[in-house]
Amino acid sequence: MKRESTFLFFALPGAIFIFSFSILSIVSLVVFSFVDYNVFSKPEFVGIKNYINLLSDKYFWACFANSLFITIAAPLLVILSLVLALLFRSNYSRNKFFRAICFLPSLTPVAIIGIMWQWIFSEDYGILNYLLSLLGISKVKWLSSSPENLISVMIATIWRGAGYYMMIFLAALSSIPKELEEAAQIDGANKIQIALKVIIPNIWNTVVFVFVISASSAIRLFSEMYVMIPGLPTDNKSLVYYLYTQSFEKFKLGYGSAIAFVVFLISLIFSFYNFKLLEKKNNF
Amino acid sequence: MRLFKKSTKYVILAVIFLIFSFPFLWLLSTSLKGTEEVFAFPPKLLPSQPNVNNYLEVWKAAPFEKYFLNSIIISIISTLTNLIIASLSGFALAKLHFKFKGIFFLMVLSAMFLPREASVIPLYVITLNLGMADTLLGASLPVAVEAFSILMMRNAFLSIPDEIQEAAIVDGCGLFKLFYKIMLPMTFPTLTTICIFSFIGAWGDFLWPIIVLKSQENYTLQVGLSYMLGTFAGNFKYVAAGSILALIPVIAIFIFFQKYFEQGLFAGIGK
Amino acid sequence: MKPFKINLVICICLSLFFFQCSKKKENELEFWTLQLSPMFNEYIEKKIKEYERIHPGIKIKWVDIPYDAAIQKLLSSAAAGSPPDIVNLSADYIPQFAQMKAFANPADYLNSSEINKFLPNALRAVSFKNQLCGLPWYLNTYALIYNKELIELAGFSEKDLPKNFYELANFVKKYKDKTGKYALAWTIGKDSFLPTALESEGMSMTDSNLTYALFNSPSSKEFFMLWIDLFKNGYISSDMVIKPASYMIETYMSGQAALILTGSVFLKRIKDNAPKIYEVTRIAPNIKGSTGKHDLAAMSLCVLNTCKRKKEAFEFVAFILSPESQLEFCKLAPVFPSTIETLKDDFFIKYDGTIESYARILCSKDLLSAEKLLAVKSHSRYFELKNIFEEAIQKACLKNESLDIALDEAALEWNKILPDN
Repeated sequence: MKRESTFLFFALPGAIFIFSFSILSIVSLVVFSFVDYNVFSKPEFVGIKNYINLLSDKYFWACFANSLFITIAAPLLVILSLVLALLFRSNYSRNKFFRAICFLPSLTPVAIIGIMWQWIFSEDYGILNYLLSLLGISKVKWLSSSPENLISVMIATIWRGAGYYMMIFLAALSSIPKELEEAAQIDGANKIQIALKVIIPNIWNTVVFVFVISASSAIRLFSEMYVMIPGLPTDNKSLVYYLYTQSFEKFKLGYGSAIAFVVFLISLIFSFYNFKLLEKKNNF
Repeated sequence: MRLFKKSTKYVILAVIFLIFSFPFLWLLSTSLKGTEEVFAFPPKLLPSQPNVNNYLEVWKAAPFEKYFLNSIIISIISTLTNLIIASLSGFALAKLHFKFKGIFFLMVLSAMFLPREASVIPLYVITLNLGMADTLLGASLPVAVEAFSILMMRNAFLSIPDEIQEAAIVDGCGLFKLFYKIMLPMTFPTLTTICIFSFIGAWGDFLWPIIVLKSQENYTLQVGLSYMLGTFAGNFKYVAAGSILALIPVIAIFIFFQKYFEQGLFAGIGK
Repeated sequence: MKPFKINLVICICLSLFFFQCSKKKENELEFWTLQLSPMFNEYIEKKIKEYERIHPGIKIKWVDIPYDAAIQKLLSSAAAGSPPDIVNLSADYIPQFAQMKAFANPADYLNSSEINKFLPNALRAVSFKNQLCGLPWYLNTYALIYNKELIELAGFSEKDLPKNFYELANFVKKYKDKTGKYALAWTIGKDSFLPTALESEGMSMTDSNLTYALFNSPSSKEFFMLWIDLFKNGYISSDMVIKPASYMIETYMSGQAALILTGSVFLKRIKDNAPKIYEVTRIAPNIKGSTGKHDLAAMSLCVLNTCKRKKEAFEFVAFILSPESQLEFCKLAPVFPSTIETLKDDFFIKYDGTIESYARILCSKDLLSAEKLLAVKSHSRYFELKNIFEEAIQKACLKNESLDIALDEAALEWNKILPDN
């Protein structure tokens, strides 16, 4: 029964899919990164020139710093989505309604989100500055200065992701045996203590998971920024946005692929180590 | 004191409601507006004479039935594929031990971190060579399997205590039966979540269908929507109405699956 | 047995990947257009049917793509070895691709009588280094669209409308002083109109041979400084510095701007989305600066060099671009034809009382003298250069850098890139 070939039955379909589509794409990207290629002419092999240029490219480092800054959104997202999941756990109809409401942002197409948040963050016509002016705060340049534009993108991203990750936490919360919580309640713990001492340790792996996923998404942020602030100066862009302009606006596919590979490596290493360090059980 | 607590609770709930739903409400409001009010300044919150005219016009303006059908087919194919592969692979990663497990895990992780914008070109080359370009299958399969879902299933299986597996083996249960009848049902909440995420991801995907598809009869809803704003089009009420129409199925799916979500919440515990 | 299975799988996948089968049928031409669907569905399909009837043995596969992912789609298809045969591109993109020798020259496949049907300035707009890269399709030129009510409220009348860009700057100032509101929705940062404005006023971004930058000359700096000062003193909004051109029309439609400089093609959008504004909208001739020069926007049809049946492809292009076809096309949408004969039709000459017809007549007269203004647009790295200049302006506005220094630095970078053409 424990024949290894049956194990393969479980792993093989996924392996084939992932290999044919994702792994081969990664390999192609690496290959592209060693050439200068603009699609209509023949690719020219240039060795590691793209990577060397990358290291001395001030825009690369500026965009890298921007993407790192945006990663601050990850822990905030984890906390917010966990709180929402805890708030709306039980199955009252009111909670069901609120779960749907929180989830709405992740359903909305990115293009619409861009338009909406542009309206909100607009320096002269936006609601946010209007509300701030009621409090006596002068106009904030949400979209036109750095780092305010990073903050506005972060707000939009957190807003969008909260419901999404809340769903994951809801699923995880359902696996906690009720008896544990009941026991703690009997012991006289209040809601917050139960949350910290009973619930979180039990879903710790999920917390790590959500953190890693949201952080690596933040590093790869592109579409929200692209739709919200299309007129951004280069050194205010995120790393993937920079990659996009290199590949699709300047047709430097080789250089763009090198950047993509670097982004890929950073996310991979970051996640791998976080999983190893933080996960409770060693599952390797 | 109690009243204070209760009213703060309601205030917080109201704030949450407003924050998360206002763009949607705004979209809804715009889609019901008569023409003059779309660009009024200061922005008008509620249409003075709500009507469903825009929806009718949008439906007439482009072959939306076709787009709808295509989107549904693509989303279903993607979701089913993802569900099957994610549960099989998640189970393998969580509960089984085989030689290439480490490599497989690394492959799954790698698949998750590829920026989409960079991978469309190689992905298209692969899709074309597999003969799937300009087909609904080609629009769904290459992007169906989300490594993210595999990891979620892995997490879900990991949280099932090993004793269950051991007890089942003692009872003489075969591996497939173990997977299908015992372990899988215990992961129902995660399965439902993956269903929802997968469907919504495929439904809202814009970039990949554009790259892969060529014939207009294969175009999806998102592509159809993007046509509404261009040099020759540009009626924002229609854009809003079209977007709401596109949102209805996903909301319906979400509500539908919420039911199963609850079932799972109780099914998984204390077997 | 297990390692063998995996190796087999790997081999199959790799072989599929490298097995580059050509997916195109022999007698099929793939024809890509930019966002003409669904408005022109009937028109294009009708034309294709007509063409296939006259030329049996050729099938045209029509693919219409939305703007948003057009370049990505083009690059993906080309990289996969199945690029389209005929592509509808904005003339702005031609130099980049032409540098990569992507296009076939129509003059090699069509006789001169065919080519002479087109407006000479339109033909210039689709050329790179004096070689035709395609043929022009529909054109657009700019007009001054203004809100009569807002203008009059501010105490102005039609004759006060600016005729050159210095007057425009003045007008913006006076308007804000009188009403406290922004007069203009324009762009000076992203998608900046400053370069074309500069050229209209008789100065240049570069020398005529595209070897060095001239936009940091004292008179040019003075001109740009006008606008930076307007921004710093609050006469123009920050939207003008960071938003792309698409925001202009939205601002106008919400009654927040009194005038915009854009194509008359947008009248329909104003009518659909803001009918009250539409009622008080009027058109005046485009601001032409002291030289009378003004810009031309062109869409073209290009045949790629990878096409295996170029002669047939160009025949199809000529068919779509024939004067009669273009007349039909322009009646469906408020754009302008590129063929001389079409412009002589009554449609572009007779006034029928509507503002659209007035706009049409005005703009078609202007069309003859419009020119793709910026010489630097023919540079193959134009988008990089554009970016550098625009960021200099943005820095001067938003980051309080001195305009002098920002422009000098930008000029230095331009001088490095320009020779590479």
